[in-house]
Amino acid sequence: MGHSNWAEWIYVAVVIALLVYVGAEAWNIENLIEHTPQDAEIIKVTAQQWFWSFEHEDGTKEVGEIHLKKDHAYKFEITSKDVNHNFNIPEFVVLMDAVPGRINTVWFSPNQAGEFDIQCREYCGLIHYNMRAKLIVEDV
Amino acid sequence: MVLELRKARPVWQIMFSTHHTDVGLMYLIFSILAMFIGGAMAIALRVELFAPGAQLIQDSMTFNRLFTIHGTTMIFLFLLPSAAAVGNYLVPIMVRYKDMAYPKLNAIAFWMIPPAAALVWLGMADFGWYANPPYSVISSPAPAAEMWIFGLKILGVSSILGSINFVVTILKCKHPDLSLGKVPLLAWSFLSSSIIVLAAMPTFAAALIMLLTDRLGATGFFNPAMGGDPIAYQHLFWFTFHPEVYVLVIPAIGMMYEIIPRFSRRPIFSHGSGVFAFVLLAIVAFASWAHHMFATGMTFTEKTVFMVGTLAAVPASAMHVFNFLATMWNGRIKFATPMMFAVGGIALFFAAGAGGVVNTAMPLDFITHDSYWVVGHFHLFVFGTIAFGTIGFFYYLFPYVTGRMYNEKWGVVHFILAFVGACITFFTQHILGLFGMPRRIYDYPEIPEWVSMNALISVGAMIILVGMGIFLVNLIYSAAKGKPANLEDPFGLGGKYYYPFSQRNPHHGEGGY
Amino acid sequence: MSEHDETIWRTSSGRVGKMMAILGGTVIVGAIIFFALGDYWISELSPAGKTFAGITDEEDAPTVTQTGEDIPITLDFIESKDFRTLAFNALPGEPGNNPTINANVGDRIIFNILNAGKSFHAFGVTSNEEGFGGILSGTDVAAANNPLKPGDGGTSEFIPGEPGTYYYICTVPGHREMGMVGTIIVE
Repeated sequence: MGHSNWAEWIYVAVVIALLVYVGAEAWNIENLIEHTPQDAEIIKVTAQQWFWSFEHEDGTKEVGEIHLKKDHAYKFEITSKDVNHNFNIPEFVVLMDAVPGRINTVWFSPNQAGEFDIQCREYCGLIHYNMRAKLIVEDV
Repeated sequence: MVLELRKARPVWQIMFSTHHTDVGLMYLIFSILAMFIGGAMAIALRVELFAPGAQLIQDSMTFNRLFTIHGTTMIFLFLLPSAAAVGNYLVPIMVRYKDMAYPKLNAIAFWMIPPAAALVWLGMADFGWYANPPYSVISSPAPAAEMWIFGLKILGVSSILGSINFVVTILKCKHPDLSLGKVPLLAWSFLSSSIIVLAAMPTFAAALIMLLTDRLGATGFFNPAMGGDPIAYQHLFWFTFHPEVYVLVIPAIGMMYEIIPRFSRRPIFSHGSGVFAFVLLAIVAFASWAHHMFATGMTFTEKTVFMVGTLAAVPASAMHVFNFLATMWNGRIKFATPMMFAVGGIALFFAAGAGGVVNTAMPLDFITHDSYWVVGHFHLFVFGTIAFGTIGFFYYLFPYVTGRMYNEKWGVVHFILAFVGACITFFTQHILGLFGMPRRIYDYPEIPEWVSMNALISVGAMIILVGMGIFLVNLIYSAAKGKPANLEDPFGLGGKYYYPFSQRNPHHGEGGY
Repeated sequence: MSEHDETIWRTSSGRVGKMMAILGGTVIVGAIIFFALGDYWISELSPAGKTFAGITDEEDAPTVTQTGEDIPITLDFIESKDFRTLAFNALPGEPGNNPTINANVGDRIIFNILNAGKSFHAFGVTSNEEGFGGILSGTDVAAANNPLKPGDGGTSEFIPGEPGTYYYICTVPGHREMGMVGTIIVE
């Protein structure tokens, strides 16, 4: 090995530094995201082939659509009745698997009023591609 | 050369041979066949996805079967056998031994693959190549699922047998004058990928059996209705298949280690770094599997552990990139087709890895998980890096295997179409994923951004198709009618083309390499 | 190395021919048997899947002979534009939505089924109050894992042997909950 490889050492150090930064930043942000606020209203989300149904805290049920209020915190308790699905509201970066036999939670607070798409993000069979619902956020 | 189309050897002589060059040739032909079959499926998918609504494929079940078998074919029937082809052909030469350690086992390992492929292709299972339960247990139709399970069982055994052969050949059969540290990096790449297979594959073999017994109703490992946990399968699956993706990429990087120093007319910058990086990658590969499962409801601590494990593998890959670039620096580079594919492959490897760092940053995964970003990301790896490296290496081996030169001009055209097509297709898929389009969907609503990007992606796929067509014609025509190559130095690089020690295929009369 | 110029034969062509014939023959015979079992392309659920869906092998009540009259009825699968409401014949709120069928024990209800929607559907009669299982034999048109494509149709019949309330449903999981259910009242 008759050549110097200081360049390689510096390169590796730079790469590691970048990765440490990414890791630390990700850790920080995830920590913040995972803290569900105390006053979040619980919405039960049930996924099944091939539609979504929702239940509010007061027992109101909705199928295929859900009405929520702007700037309120909501915690989704998500489960499935048959196979794996994934509850996804892309415009609010809500994403969590719906696994049968298990309840997964994710929270959000919609900061915009309007109509948004809900879609399934885990392959679940014949009509996975059309397993959609509507989120309607009302200004209150 | 083992493939002479003009004065052809009897086919059955090749088929019943156990010599490593013949087994390598059979792996090569099979893997190229599987590449085109998997590619045809991909084209069918992209034609369907060109616009919303049904175009080529009239129902979602057929679409679901096609993407499942496209993935299964490309990984198990194209990439793994093509690595085996290269390894079988060259590893004994590189360690200066007469054949692989167990020639008959070698042939058996190859011949298990066509029946397994028949099971997979005739079954056309529909559950995605991951076969996630509960869908694959309670909802996926028979007999497709069972055929897939049996097919993959056989392929797993074939992989393990091949890996045993490589490990024993490299460690135990190498020439006594050759120290392990001096063994070429391509052989090191086969050593490390084989060790990964031996450690990782048995887990999937177990998972397959569990899936089968679950389907039969005899057990409830993954069926919540019987007290099981679907996420357990994902752990078992990814424990095998995250390291498995390194099994796919490591030989391709090894192939680049053959091409780049030769075509830069410089020695590799640091052989030691290459060895270190391969071994480190093989170990750290096992630390990151659950980054595929960030959305299943893991705790913060679990996700952090796997994020760190994923990030830990990046420096090893980065060392390879540095090694290549430092080798090329100040070199008198000859940009023949193999070199173009190798260099293009490094560029796309870097892009793929960068995208991967985004995926592993936990909060960002909520944006990218199971969207077209992931599809673009892994295709940059499997097509942009591995297929590029492999195809470049096929061009490189061509004169060695056939004794003739392929057509260089058409090789360049192929590269340009493949590279441009790959960039258009896979980079656009990243952006499409950011706009929220899920993967594995047969049809999509008329969201304007999705419609225009899907159309662009399909165009990119067609560009790749044209390039691959040119490749096929080049391969066949040149094997039959190409100019005889100067076997000492087919690419005019100056200096010895290949290893000083060449192999003699016992079936071959004169000049047998 | 000229001692190796002679090709080394591993076996004879006769043997090879025999082996190819045996292997090839097995594959061909196996393929014929396999494909002759027909309709394998979209086919049965696994045993675990059947258990999950509540489909068992014996479901068959003894066949009832018809002692009453024929009641033909046409039922079309239809969907609302956004696919979130499904029904037979007309959407909820419109006349003809999910018509109730009245019959006597021994009558033969003949179902003419058509998939007038854009999605997949299948038909069956069950006495279960919820879910997609317990389909009575002879009443099914297509099945959830081999459904009717848009425009496809079929017929089936139901001769009730016991009085009570039965339900005709779309047997694709979830579609009953989304509105594809109607009642059959048997006296």
